[in-house]
Amino acid sequence: MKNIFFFLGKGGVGKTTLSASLAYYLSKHNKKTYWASIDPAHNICDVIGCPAFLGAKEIERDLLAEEVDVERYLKQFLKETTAQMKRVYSYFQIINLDDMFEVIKNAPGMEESAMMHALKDIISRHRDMDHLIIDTPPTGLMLKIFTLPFITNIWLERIKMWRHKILDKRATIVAIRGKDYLGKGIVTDASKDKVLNEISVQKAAVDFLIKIFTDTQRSCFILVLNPDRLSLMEGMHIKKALSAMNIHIGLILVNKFGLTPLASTEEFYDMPMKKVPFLKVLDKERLYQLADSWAEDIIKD
Amino acid sequence: MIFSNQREMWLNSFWKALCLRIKWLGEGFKRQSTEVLERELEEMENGFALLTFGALVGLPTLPTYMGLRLLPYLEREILVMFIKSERLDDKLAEWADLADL
Repeated sequence: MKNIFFFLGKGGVGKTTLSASLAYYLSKHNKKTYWASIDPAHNICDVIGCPAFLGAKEIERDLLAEEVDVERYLKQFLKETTAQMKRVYSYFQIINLDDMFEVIKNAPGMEESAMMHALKDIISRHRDMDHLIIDTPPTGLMLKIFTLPFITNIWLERIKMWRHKILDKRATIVAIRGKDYLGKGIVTDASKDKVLNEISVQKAAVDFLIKIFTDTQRSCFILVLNPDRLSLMEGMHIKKALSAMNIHIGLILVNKFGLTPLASTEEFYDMPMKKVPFLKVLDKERLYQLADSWAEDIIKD
Repeated sequence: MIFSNQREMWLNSFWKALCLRIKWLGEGFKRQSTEVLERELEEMENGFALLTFGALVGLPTLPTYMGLRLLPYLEREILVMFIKSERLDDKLAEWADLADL
């Protein structure tokens, strides 16, 4: 049974709306569901019509929703790193690292990394739920988040191998020249090396995500499109980019069907596709009905 | 008798001197053998630091987040990297040093 659903697509196609419809559908069928948005421009509140909230909130019976605060993950990480730096390098006690990390916070790739860790945290914290629904940011940022574990994994594999070679070389030198020859506290044993330990911790995190992303039995990637040509073309790019990482799209939802004529969808001939009609008014009952035509199939698959 | 004692003392000091020289020879070999290893180690540590923090000089590196995670534990590697980069404009001296000239 599939129990993790990722909603992907171009900005404004209706990812949040359709993720909401699946969330309501599952809660109505008494399934404990966790619905989270990792899009920095959240709009869960706008869809369900409530004021903004922090953390998880029960919006229906068996349905918890969260607009993930990525900034909090970033701050937490920087706080931990700052504390560790101060512990290891005593001279940092007199330098204000907090100002420096304000700059690092905005360094390229930091936001994506924080989102990747937020995603890992959400999935591992809610294993007791029957279903997890993840609403993702628009294509550009979404692809960066989903690519990051794969790229990071390649880097970590390489530097792990490199580190082992360094430790082997150090051990050989120390065996010939004596224990403190390379300096006091220089580690030669792989089991005591903090760098290798940190690499292993990070590798476990990315391995966890890669396993989830590529597990077609457990995870389902739902690509949301609109009938117009641009939206379909972007969908093709998403399909190609995800295939390169061995991530398969489980369902295509053509949202707002009927609003404009449907452009050619032959590029998606090998994927199940459902058409979701355009609704002017979206309330709880209508959201529930929207999922009625496609939700059952993807859960059973 | 006196002659015999003198001969024994001479032999003793000869053996001591010989042992010392053999020890020096051994130490010399040890130093020579590890010198190459130490250079290799420095290069590898420099490479490791460049892989981790190469973004500072425009090299493709592992994501910044991971680099920051490892930063607190890489004092030695960063020092090696700085020393190596200081010597980058004096490759002739480094070559001479390497060739033991």
